[in-house]
Amino acid sequence: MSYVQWQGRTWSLTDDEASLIVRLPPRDCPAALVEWDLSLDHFVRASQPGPDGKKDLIAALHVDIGNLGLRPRTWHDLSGQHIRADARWYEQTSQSGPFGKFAKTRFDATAWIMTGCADAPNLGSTGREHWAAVDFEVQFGQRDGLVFPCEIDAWVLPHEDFNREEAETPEELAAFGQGPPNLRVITRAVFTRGSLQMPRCGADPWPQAQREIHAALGPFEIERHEVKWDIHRPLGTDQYTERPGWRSSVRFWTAK
Amino acid sequence: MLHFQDQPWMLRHGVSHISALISPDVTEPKDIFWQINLWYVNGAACWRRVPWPRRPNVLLGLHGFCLAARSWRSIEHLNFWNLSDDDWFDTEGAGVDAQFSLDGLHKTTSDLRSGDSSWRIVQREGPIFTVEISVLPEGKGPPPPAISEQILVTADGTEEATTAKPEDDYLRTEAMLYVVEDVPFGVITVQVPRNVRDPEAYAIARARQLMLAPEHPEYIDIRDHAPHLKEFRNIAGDIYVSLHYHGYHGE
Repeated sequence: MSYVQWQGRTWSLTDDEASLIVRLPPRDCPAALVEWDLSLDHFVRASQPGPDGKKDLIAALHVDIGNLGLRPRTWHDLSGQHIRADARWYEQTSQSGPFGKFAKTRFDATAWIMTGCADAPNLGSTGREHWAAVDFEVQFGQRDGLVFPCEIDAWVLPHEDFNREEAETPEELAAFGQGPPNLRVITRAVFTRGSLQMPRCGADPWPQAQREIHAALGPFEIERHEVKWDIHRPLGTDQYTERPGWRSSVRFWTAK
Repeated sequence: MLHFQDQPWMLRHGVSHISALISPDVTEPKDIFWQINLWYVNGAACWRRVPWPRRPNVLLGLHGFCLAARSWRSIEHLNFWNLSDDDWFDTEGAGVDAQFSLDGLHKTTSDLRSGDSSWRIVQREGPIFTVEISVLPEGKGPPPPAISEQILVTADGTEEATTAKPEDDYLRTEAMLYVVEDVPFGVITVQVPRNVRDPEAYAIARARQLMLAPEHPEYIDIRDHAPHLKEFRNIAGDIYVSLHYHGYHGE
C-alpha cells in the first residue's frame, strides 16, 4: 500500500512498496560506513482501461533518499527508527563514500504527471519534475518479516533552487520544515536488496561475501546473488572486459 | 580527523592514500618518489546545499621522503616530528604542503605552510598507516624543552620517575592545523617502456623488486598518453601502469 500527498493533493492509493537497500563498505575501506537507502515508485494509473485493455500511467512519483544515516546493529533494529534530517543529523551522517564520492543530495523526488489526461488535474502542478529536500522526517514502525511500515514527511524544493553557491545562515539552518510538508508518504518499506564490493578473494567471492553480509547485518534469507567482476581496459583497445578472480561487486536480493 | 578552523571536515576516501612513482631511472628504493595525500571537504551542515567540489577544501601533501629499506612497510618508520630547524632543512620530505581553498576546487587557494610543521607515522595495521601532522601558526616558536623528570604516583603509592614529552602536547594543542588519520597503501605507478611485451607483469615485477609490493594488486590501470599528447616526448615514450593496492578509485 502506498499513500502519497503531493503539493497538497492526495493521489490514488496504490499497491506500490518502498525498497530498503543496503550498501556495505568494502572491508579494505574500514573507515566507510554501512549506508541504507530508501526508494519508492508510486505509479497512478487511469481509472478506466484504454483501447488496448490496459490502464495507462497518468502520474508517477519517485522518491530516493540516498543515505538514511542509520547505523542499526542488525537490520531488525530498523524497527522504530526515526530520522529527523536537521543540521545536526547532517553533520553526524555526512561521509565520503569508500572511494571518495559524495552523495549529491540526500532526498530526491521526481514527480511526473501526464498532461491532457482527464484524471491528471487532480494530481497537482505538472510544471517541475525534479525536486530535492533538505528537511525531511522518516519514521519506521515495527517489523513484520522484511517489511517496515514507513511514514515520510518532506519539504521539497525545485531541484534548481536546491543547489546554491554560498553557505546557509544560522537562521536558515535552524528553520526546520517551515509550514506543512509538501510531500507526505505512508507506505511499506521492504528490505529488498544490497551490495558490497569485495577485494580479490579467489574465483568465487560469494562465500566470503555472504559471511561479511551476515556479520554486518545479522541473519536473513538471501534468495539470489550476482557477482560482477571489475572491468579492465587492456592496452591498445577501447573495449572493457571483466577480470574474473579480481575485485568484484556482489549484489544480493532478499527472499521476499 | 582534521582539526582546522573549528570546522567539521570529511576525509575523501580513495583519493587520500599513499602513492609512489617509479620512473625508468629508478634503480634504488631511495630514488622512488613517494607521496601521501589527504583531501578534506568541509562537512558543516551550512554547506549541505553546496555541491562538494565548491565547498571549502583542504589538501595536504607529504612528499619527497625516501625509504631506506627495500619494503613499502618501512613507511611506518617515517618520523619528521619536532625536528630542529637545521634537521628540518636538511631532511628531504620533512615539509608539509597544506593548501586551503575557501571556494572549492580550481579556485583561489592559500598556502598554510606559514609556520613550523611536523609529521610522522604513528602506527601501521596491515596496509593502513596512521599519520599525524601538525602545522603551527606563523610566529609560534618551537616547543618548550622537555622536562627531564616527573614523578608519577601509582594507585598503590609507588612513585615512578618518567620523562615527560611536553613537545607532543604543544604540537597538538598549539597547532593551526592538526591531523590524525588512517591512510591506506596505496597506488604505485610504474613508467613502463613502450617496447615491453607485458606492461602489467613488468610493472608488478618492478614494484616487487624495489619495494616488495604485494604480488596481487586490486586493480591495474594502464594509461598510454601518446595518442593524446604527442608533443610531450617523455610522456609519449612510456606507458603508465598504476597498481592499485587499495580498491580502485577513478577520478
